[in-house]
Amino acid sequence: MKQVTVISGKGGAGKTTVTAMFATLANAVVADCDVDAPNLHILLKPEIVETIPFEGMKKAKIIEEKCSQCGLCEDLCRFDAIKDFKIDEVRCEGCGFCYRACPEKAIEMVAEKRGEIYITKTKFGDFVYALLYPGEENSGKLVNEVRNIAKKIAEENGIDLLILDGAAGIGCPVIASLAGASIALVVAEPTLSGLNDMVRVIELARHFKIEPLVAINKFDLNLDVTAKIEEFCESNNIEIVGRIPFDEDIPKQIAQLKLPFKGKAGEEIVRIWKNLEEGWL
Amino acid sequence: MRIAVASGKGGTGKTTVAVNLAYFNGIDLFDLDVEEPNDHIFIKGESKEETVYRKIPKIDEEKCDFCGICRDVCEYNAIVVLKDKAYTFPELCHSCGACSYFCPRNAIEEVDKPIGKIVEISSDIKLTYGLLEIGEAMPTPLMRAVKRKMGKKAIIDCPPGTSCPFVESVLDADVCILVCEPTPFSYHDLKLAMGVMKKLDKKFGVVINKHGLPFDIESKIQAPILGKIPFSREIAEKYSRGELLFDYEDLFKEIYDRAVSL
Repeated sequence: MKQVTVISGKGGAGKTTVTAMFATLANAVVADCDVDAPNLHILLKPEIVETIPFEGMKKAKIIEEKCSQCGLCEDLCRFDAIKDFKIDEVRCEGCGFCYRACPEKAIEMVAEKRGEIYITKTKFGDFVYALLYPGEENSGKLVNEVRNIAKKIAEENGIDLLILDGAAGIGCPVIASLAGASIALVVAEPTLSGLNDMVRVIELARHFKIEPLVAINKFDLNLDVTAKIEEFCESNNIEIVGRIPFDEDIPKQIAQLKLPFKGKAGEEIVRIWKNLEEGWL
Repeated sequence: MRIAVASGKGGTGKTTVAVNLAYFNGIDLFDLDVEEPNDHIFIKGESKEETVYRKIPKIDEEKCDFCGICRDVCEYNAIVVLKDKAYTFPELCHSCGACSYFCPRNAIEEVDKPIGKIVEISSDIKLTYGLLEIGEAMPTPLMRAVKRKMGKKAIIDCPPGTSCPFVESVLDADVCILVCEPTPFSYHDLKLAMGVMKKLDKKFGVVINKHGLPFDIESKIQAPILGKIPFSREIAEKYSRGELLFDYEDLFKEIYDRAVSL
């Protein structure tokens, strides 16, 4: 199975705009792997077929009646999650150290629903997304589940392609969305921040031996930085698959939730997709 | 007072607000977006670096009898024990220390793994930021190390999202500024970020960036609005070149005053 993961390092570079257009063009199962701030469903307007609960890590809970207040758990916890014989659920990382060490067996590990996965249909095809409840952790694990479900749906329907919209950053959810990727499409914006972040996310993709390709979004916003991006890509043997122009019609169409996008930016994304299909998939 | 600048959605203008707020009000700045820090593009000066480590297990195979207790107590599947071999997977390890504590043969030593560095920049204001090592999955231990440098007065630039890194960055803040832009995406993520604020019982206000984009977010927000930054190609170009917004000094002073009195 082929897999395109769309990433950027920097948030707001245009991952979702690009992925949404791809969804309208490709015969693929699409998944939103930005599980703590998903946006793709807003544009794709899916009909939910099935909702699956996500439990994540179990977290520690002190059983008051059994607790002798010896304080061992507080001493052992590396996450400062225990104070005055109470667990701070936000800080607890679910390691279970306290639960195993407690001489009174006064700590239990409790599972709770920490998010939901949605299997859906859109007018463009199958789409999977998830929502981690605010403030929860383990987004990497949830991304894995989203990806596995998308893959299973693809297999069942004889579809040979997954398109994943990744999260911002270079941490666990991004790493999880790169697993199994045939290519990582890096959407870069020509700002010094965008360049800085692109370099780091390209390094991340290469660290996991995944071929990065670059699409420059709003390339005409700052032609000097666009030239720096091009220079970086050339000297690192990275292909630039497209240059999307700054187009004021894009925010207008997003505000009206109009998809596929029309106009010069939309047309360039169509060209980028054809480029990917012919050269890389 | 510590003020955290956060958003939920990436790219709405956290960095713009954080650096200008810190600079024009003369307050030290902490960039806790250790995965993709950008404040140093705007605040330049002499820099000082230190490496940050976290603990990971190292199994002494001379002492190990491959009983598998360390594997069983590891909730993160970071240890695999076979009949006569034990492997650790540092990238999965959360450094909780359970394996070495429970090892009956004292065969596990905790050793330092570098996870990134802290950079301190001295300029008109002081900027401290973390830079996560590429491939390191967990930003929170490095974020905690950066936070230990923080005094009582600080502007904190937070990572995007609404999960653990975001929570870690706002935990020690007195007040949060949520930066949004008038788009349906940003509105969606703002609601999630506000959910975290309520869960953590934090005081917060909202700054609308790119004000003037064709989506009405203002009338939907039920929280104090601390300021509006206009949608302008000129501001976007200044940001792209790493420049501060000197034309808007008064606005950032006002935003600060309103945030402090929330």
